[in-house]
Amino acid sequence: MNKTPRIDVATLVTGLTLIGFAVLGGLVAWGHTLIRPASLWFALVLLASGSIGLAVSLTRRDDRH
Amino acid sequence: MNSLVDLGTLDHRLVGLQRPNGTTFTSGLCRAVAARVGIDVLLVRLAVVALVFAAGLGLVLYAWATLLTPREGRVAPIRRLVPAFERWPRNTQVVVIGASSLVVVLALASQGNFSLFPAIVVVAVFLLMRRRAIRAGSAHPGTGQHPAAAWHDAAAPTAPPPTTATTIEEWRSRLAAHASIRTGPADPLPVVDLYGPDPDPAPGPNPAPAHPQAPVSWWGAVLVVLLSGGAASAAFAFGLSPTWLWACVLGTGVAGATMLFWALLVRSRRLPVVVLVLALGVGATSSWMVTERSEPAERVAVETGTQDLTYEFIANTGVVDLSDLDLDDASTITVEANLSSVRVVLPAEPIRFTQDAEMSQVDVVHPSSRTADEERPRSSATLVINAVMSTVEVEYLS
Repeated sequence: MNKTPRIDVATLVTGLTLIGFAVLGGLVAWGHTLIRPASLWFALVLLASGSIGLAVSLTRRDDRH
Repeated sequence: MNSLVDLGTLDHRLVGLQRPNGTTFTSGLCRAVAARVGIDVLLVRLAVVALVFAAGLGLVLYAWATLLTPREGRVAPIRRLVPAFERWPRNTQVVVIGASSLVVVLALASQGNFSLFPAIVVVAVFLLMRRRAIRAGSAHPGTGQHPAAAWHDAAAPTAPPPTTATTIEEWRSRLAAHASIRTGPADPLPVVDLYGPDPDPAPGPNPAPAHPQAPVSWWGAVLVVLLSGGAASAAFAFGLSPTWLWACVLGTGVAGATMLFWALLVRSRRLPVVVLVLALGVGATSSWMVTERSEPAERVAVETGTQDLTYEFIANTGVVDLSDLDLDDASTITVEANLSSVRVVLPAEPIRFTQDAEMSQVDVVHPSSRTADEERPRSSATLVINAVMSTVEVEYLS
């Protein structure tokens, strides 16, 4: 039986994190000022991408049977 | 073998509980519990409603109980929503349920200014009753239940019907014989569910995983480097300004997008971990450098001599410099800041300062050279700060 290969969560999370970092940098480069410390926004990006990765890991089916 | 925690963990009478079909408005949990315990369903519902007022404890328990209890002939909702949950050890499941319930109760209590005392009392009474039940069970094996049995009741072997004393003694002797060949005293008895689905075949010494790890693709790593490097070079080539800022942003963004598409589309091969770590480090460093190079806030043109001054900032940043304002000027200065970062400079502390800050931070900066008992000059102006998700810094020059 052919099974769809599983998503590589590490690559997924890294991609999401880099996109979030790029969005933050793009906002600043565009001329906007972050109204909170930049470290907070970076932490939020890491938290969001990590949560998505965790959700993907937990909700995918168990393929052992 | 792990299995799903059910309400039998709380009370042995609720082992293998199933919610009835046909209840659409409610989950049918109260009806199932009442039928199993043998009390009126109204009492169970009243108990749940009363527990809701114990800092939302009833709400959390009802939600978890519904998730863990299947409808007749179906699987528990938690198995469909989070398939990995039942693969965790039962103790881990209990810890997750307890921790999440604690977080929700604490959040509800803090947000609604509810007292935690009723919830603490309820939990303490429950733990006390459960402990007494366990002690009674160990003292009188025929009437109570061992704590370990509560974990395995759902699949525990059913004792033969005690029709005669001979049958019971035979069953006990078989259990004792089995216990004597166990490897350690702490090992639980084997669990056999005669009515459950067929067990998984016994794994061999090295069972092959159903999903072996996908092989590494270095060509994918090269693709990521080429695309991100090309995007960063394009910033220079097209002369985007400021160049190096946009080079960092574009390179990081393209690398992230490439990895995201690779993870979603090219599942047969994975990117090397070293490439992921390097990309993350380079992306974080470059983005941090970009944010550190943010432009200084723009000064807002200030008019003096008018009675009311109003400055609005929406998703912006700026400085309202009123340092030249006359101390006798009785103007009303209103600063409306929405999603913005604003700095207000005043010659002295205003005679009235009103602030309405929602999810915002308003800081007042006094001159560092001033002492506490020093005579402070006062401005006749009135300052009104209305901030929504913003940071406002008010600085007094004297």
